Amino acid sequence: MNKRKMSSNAKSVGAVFLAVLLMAMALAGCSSSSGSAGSTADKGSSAAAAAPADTAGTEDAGGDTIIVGGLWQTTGFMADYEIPGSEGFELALEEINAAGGIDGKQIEYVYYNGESELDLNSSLIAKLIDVDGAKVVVGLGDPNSAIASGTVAQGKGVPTLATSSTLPYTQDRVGDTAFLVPFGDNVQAYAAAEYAYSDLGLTSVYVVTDSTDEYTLSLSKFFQERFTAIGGTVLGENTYDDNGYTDFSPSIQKIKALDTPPEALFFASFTDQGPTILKQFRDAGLDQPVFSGDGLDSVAIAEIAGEAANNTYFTTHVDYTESNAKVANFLAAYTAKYGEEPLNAFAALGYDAAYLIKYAIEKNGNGDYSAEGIKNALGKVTDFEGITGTISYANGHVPNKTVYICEFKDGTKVNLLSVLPAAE
Amino acid sequence: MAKRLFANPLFKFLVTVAAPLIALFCIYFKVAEYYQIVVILFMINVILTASLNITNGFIGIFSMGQAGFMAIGAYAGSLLTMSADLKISRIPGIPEWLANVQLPFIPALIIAGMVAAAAAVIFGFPVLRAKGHYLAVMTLGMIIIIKAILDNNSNLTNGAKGISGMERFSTLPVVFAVMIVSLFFLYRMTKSAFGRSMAAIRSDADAASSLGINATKYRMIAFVVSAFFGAVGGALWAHLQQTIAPSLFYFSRTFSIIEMSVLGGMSTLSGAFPGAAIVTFVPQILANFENGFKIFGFDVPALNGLSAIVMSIVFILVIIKWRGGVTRGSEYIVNAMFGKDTWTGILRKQTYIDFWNILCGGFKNSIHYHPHTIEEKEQEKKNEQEKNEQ
Repeated sequence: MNKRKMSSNAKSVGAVFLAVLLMAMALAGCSSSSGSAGSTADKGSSAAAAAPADTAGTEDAGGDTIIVGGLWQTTGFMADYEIPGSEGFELALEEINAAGGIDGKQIEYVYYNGESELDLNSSLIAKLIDVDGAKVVVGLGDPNSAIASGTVAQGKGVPTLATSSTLPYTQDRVGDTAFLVPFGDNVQAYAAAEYAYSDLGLTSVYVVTDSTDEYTLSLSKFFQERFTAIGGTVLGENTYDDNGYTDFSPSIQKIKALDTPPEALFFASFTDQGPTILKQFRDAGLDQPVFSGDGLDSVAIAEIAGEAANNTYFTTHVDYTESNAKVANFLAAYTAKYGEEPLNAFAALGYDAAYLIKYAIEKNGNGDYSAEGIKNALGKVTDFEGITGTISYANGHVPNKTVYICEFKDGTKVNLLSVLPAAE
Repeated sequence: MAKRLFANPLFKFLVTVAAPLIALFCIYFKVAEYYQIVVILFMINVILTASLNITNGFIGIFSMGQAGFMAIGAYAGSLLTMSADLKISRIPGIPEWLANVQLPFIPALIIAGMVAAAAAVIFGFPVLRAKGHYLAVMTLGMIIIIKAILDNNSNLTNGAKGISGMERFSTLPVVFAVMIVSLFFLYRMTKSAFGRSMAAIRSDADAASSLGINATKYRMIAFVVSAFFGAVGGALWAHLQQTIAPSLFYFSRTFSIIEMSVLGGMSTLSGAFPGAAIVTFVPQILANFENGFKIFGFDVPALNGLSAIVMSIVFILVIIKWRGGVTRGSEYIVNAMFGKDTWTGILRKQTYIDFWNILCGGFKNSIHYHPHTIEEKEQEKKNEQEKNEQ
């Protein structure tokens, strides 16, 4: 073997390995405290030494800031939900701090981008809590990431507020530190079922379900459950694989083969399937009213599908056209800060998350600003009025919350009504 | 000097055994859990990458299906460690025999690996008939099939909803031990006659066949071994994150493992270390900078996606400039870690003397040697004169 080549290889390998090793030890030894309100992180000295894990839960009445953590997916497949969510949240934090903070304490905000990757989420939440000292973490991305990172936070006793996940089993899976800001899929599916049966008088339905995701499976299951419980009939269900461009003819054929056509259709689908499924069904001559969940909450669907989107009803989190001072102020402030209207309901959910924390601590906190104190304070919330409606954790940490029902009409979205489901 | 230093057994021992052990010790006992989680992820990625290098680098089958074996390992491992009560409550419809099986973690890892190995045999028959690009695409098909099976057998796997609640068995010491054992096994395999046969098949399968090496059989063995360790990595991952779903073991996961393999150097086991290190640690470090930072007093605004952009640039640069990855075909790290030379060398006194001499010699001959005192300056002059006289 060429001796010179061996040397340069060995040198480069050794050098790189040493570099990597040093990087690892630097990670271990140094600590980065990126805590400061707003978006500039101060890369000063390791002032806050790597905080031992147990400070997160201890009693903390002193100090004049409350450290709040954000774990938002600003890139990756959850970006469309979490960018608006983080923007709403930051807007609210600014407003709260400007008005004096929580109990006079300013909110110190630290956040990271989880990139919609579970590995990053479950590690960065540990960083937020252990290294940056966050006492509550907001955001968390899709249900899988929310559960993984929620589990890490649960182990440290730090409450988490998920703003994009609608998983009804969150508290069961994670524990008592996990809270949802949006309603669970059960609540929204029940509302859809009741609207279809009781309000519109439709007695039979055929269900088409995307079988590749927990969200759509849950939505479908809960809709069918409630629809049959209140007297309707589910004539059948067909599942499909969401692979980008889906051909819905198997479902369409099955519906056409039924003796009596269904009076309504329920689609458990994601946003990007919206125009496709609506167009294919309408083109095949199936004009029944369509019902769906917040997955179809996007004006773009009405714009793309055009006439095919008419007669489609879905549940969602907020009504931006509501004649309500709070909503109007939010829209004005959001547009002023970001230069455009909020993209979807998740901006409002992010906004409410911040005010929810403030409300909980000021009303139920008893001056305990530790993670445990904040967790207890949140758990006692029964009547928070946000721009996304009323939130109550009386029945558990997946809130009983206002559901807004909308319709697509003539290329736009029209808000019809809101329902606050009865506590069960 | 560098060459002699790198060849010295004590140096090898310090760099590849002692220093990492000390670092791990500190991380486990002294610092915040965040760093532990990142290091555990790194070690799991090392196992996954090393397992992929067996097929992609050693025997020359470019497989893109590692995420599928990882999925099998994650699911099999979890189903074997979870208690009956937990499984019955989390997976409606689970058959009784599956609910009642419960094993300790290490046996569960081994059996999970064997389930994946069996799957590799089944998939291997069609997949390994193909070559080159066709084989690669068939392994992608394999991932799609595995995901479809996991999505649609909800009485066994809870379907697309996934499973959570398995115990956090993947602690730092456990994962470290599994990583060392796995790498040692793979190291012995690549250094054996089997390993040499793999290299022969990679260079020229027909020539190897003409010498009596059964390429098909060896390819199958490599594929199965790769699947086994990919599954072990998957099971370790599942018991770290405590939640699994079919969508987590799909294209982006498999490409991430390929990225680590290519960056580090896919024709070596050592490549697993730099490859996994870059892909695991760089995004963590960049996470600090994505939300804006100060540099020399200037405020840099938030740069969303910085991590993804930097990783992409690194990847492109490595492929253009360093075709063979960071290690460029050198097995230095793994050889140093497990080699007989290292472990017998540190028992010999001569090694220590050599080490000391190399370091001292290095200091003396270094460019930065400036004589300070008058005596040293005179000594320096004398040395110069002697050199000129020679």
